[in-house]
Formats: sequence, structure tokens, C-alpha cells
Amino acid sequence: MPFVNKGFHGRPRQPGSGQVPPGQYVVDDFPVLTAGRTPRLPLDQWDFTITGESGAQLARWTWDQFQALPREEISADIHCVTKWTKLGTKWTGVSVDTLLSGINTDAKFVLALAEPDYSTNLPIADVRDNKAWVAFQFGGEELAAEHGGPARLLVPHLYFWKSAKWVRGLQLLSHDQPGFWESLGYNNYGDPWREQRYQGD
Amino acid sequence: MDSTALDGNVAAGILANIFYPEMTVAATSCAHCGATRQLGELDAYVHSPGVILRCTSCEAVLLRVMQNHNRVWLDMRGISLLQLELPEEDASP
Amino acid sequence: MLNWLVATVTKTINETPDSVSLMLDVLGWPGHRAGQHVDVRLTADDGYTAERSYSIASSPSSNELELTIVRLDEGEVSPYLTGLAVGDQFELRGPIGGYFVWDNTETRPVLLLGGGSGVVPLMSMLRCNAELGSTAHMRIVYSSRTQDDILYRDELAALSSDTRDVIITLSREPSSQWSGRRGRIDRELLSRLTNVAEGNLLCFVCGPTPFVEAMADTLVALGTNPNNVKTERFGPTNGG
Repeated sequence: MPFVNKGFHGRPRQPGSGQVPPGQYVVDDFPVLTAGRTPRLPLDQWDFTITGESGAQLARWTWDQFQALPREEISADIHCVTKWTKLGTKWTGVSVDTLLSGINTDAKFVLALAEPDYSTNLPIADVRDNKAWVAFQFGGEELAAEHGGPARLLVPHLYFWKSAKWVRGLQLLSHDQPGFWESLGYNNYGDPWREQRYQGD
Repeated sequence: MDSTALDGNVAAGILANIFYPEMTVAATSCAHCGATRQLGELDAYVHSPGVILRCTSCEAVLLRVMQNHNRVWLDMRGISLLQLELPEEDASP
Repeated sequence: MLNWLVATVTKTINETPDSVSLMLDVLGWPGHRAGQHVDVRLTADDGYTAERSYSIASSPSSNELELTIVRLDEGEVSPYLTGLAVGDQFELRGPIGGYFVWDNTETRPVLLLGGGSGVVPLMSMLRCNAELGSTAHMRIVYSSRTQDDILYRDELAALSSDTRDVIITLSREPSSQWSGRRGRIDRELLSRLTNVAEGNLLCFVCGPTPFVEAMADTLVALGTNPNNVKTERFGPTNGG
């Protein structure tokens, strides 16, 4: 029988219901979790690249080029592996479909690469067909550095560690390659609806 | 230094359940730049339930550890050398 | 092994309007060293848990464990802990941390720098130094905001002796009745206190991360051996 502190409620939250994955609590704030110092990258040094399976660069955009791409407004619920869920978050970004549109590839997986030394792996099907974006605005404002600005990956249907902050590119892969957290016990796929938080879940 | 960093001391709890000597005073050598420091002095980032320890000189990751229930994942590739002091009663003759 | 133990509140002390010291009876407590901390875990009835670390304020020779909690209104854990009554219980594990500790076998002179609630583990060191009749010279410089925020004020005054020196500086005290130091701990003060000729001065710095980093950088810039500067950063705010 686990110890319970009577009268302890914790941060304001509502238990999961219907639209919220199992084990999650809905919060109003936006907690920041980090694995390193917040990168501060000047926009004139920022670029986003797509690298092929052989290592060849297939596409590259500078910040200005990126801003000129068609952008979308996204409204999504986001779910962190540490159990908080935020409903109806609003983002602006470029769809990964747009970024991959000029590229012919048989790759089955991608590895998202981010500052300073972060990576996260996904099946390519999970970043296609309107499921993933590179987002640079949150709530109509420039994405704050502590939340991943200037741009982060946004993949709301998976746990939020897959939405890599400070993203700089996608590496196309024929074989899956575990990223930063996936190689340290987090689940390789991360579906919140099946509570796939850690390896073996 | 970054205002989100804490001291390696925050990893003391999770490491105490893995190693029996006191780990925060162990000397760690960074595999990337060679700097040697006590683990307790390293820059620590808590990404619950994981802790990341980084070199205070070059910011390379020295140690990553994650615990879920009774399973622990530990990556110490970033430490090229670990020096520990065992209690006196465990000293070799 | 660090197991979760049950702590029972035996006494509560209102240190300041925003902080409470809890005297605890902990079944199975193995003892601790000055400067160590504990992890506290609270569990709600829906299974939600929150954990925080708190420095131990009591000396190792004290019969009871003392934690001093500063209440942050937006915090999850501190409002609960500061509202506890005698007889209430919660889980904790420890003692934790061999890096930020002072033992009375240490004979080198010591400089303690505390910002806000960073004074808590330093208090454990001062109490240890006093209770065990240590001859090691120990000086504390404690930076706080106003008189109302000073933790352990009367006890700090009583601890002053020929081998223990207490300096309190207030950054935001409006009243002219405070005759003590004002302002932050600056380079000029540290320069006077760290006589570089005493190359074996041991420094402990604790408090919010920006405070600790500023103090540590200044100490090293003044010539203190970095190996003799131990830090404990509490994060951008004081936790909560």
C-alpha cells in the first residue's frame, strides 16, 4: 500500500479523460525539461538540412529561405513522458511533407538532429502525411529559446521528447538508430495512447 | 555556465543505489577534453527521470543515467577514467 | 542503498513569514554529515508524486533531523510542507551527497557564502563547528533580502565567537533601523575575506544558481584554488 500524503494535491491538473492519453495530467503551464545548456544560435548561422542515407546533403535552407516556405497553423495536444499534457497548443511551422517534397527516397527511418548534441529517431511514416512540422512560433509569438527556438520539430502524436528542440536537420536512414533518450531506456517509438514511455512498455 | 544547470550532487541519490562508494567525490576524466573533476562539481541537467552530467569545461556529456522502477540505464562513455576511494576496511593489503 | 524512510514531524518553528523549520523523527535514520541533503517525496491519492531535495539544517550530532522549508506560492511541495503539523508524516531518503560536506576533522579555515535559502546547509556546518568545539575558523557571509527574511537570526548572533564570524548583508531592507551591511556580497568584500596568503581557505557557496556562479567566479578570480570552492546550486529559483 503506497504512502499517501493526505491533503497533498500537487500542481493544478485534471486527470485524463477521453481525449487525454492514459496516465497523463492536463496542465496549464509549460514545463521546461532540458538535457543541456539552452543553445543561443543567431539566425544568420541557422540552417536546416536533409541528409541522405549515404551522407550526402539533399536539401538545405537558411533561415530566410525557410521563412519563405509555405507555413501552416497547427493546433495540437502535446504529451510529455513526465506525465503532463497540454491541450490545444498553437504553433506555426513548415510541414515536414513540404521539406521532403523534393526528395526521392526509400529510407524507412529518420534521425532528427538538434543542438547541442541531441537526436531522436522516428519511422519516416511518422513524419509524413501531415503528422510533423518544423515549428518556429508558439501561440503566435516567436518560439522562445527555452522551448526550442528558433525552431523545433513538432510531432504531437508521439511523446514530446520526439519533438526535438533546437532542431537542425533530418538524417534519412535505412535502418533505425536509437537517439539520445531512446538509447537510455526511453521507448523506441513513444505512443502516448499505448503508454510507451520506457523500453519494455 | 547556464542558469538551468545544477551540480552533480543531484545525481547522488540515483547513483547511491548503483555504486557503493560515494560517487559525488569520485574523480571523473572527460573523454572529450581530458578535464578531471569531482562528479559533484559537474553541470547537471535533470530531465526527470533521467540525469545528464556534463563537463564544466567543454560541455560534453560525461554520464547519463535513467531509472524506471527497478531498471537503470547508465551510459558512462563520456568518462575516460573514474577514480574512486573505497572505505578503509576494503583496502587491499 | 538509499531507501525511503518515514519522517514524523515533532515540532514546527516559524522562522520567517515565508519559512518553517520542521523537526523530524525519522525511523531508521543512519546519521548524516554537515552539508548533506535529503530527497522528499509527496504522493497524492491519485498516485501523482512530486519529489524535491532539501538540505539538512541540523548538525550531525543533533537527535532530530531538521529541514528548513521556504514556501514558494507557486511551488508544488513547499506550500504543503510548510503547512504540516506535529504528528504529520512524509517520506524522505538520505543522507545524500559526499561532495558538499564539512566534517569537524577538517582544520582549514572555512568561508561559507549563502544566498537566501542557501544558508540552510551552511547552518548545519556552523552548528556542527559550534557543538563539537571545533577550532577551525569558520566565517559565514549570508545574503538575504530584508530583515524579515533572515533565517536563524538569533541563533546566528549567538554563534559568533572568536573562531566563528557572522556577516549578514541585506539587499532590499527599507528600514533605517538595520545597522548591518547592505547590498550584495561584492568583490571588494570577498577580496578582504579571502586572504590569498592563506592558500588553504575552504569555501562553500550555496543558493540560487546565479548567486552561486557569481560568487564562485569571483572567488576564483581573486586567486582562490578552484579545488577549494565547493558549490551547491539550487536552480534558477529556489525550487519549491
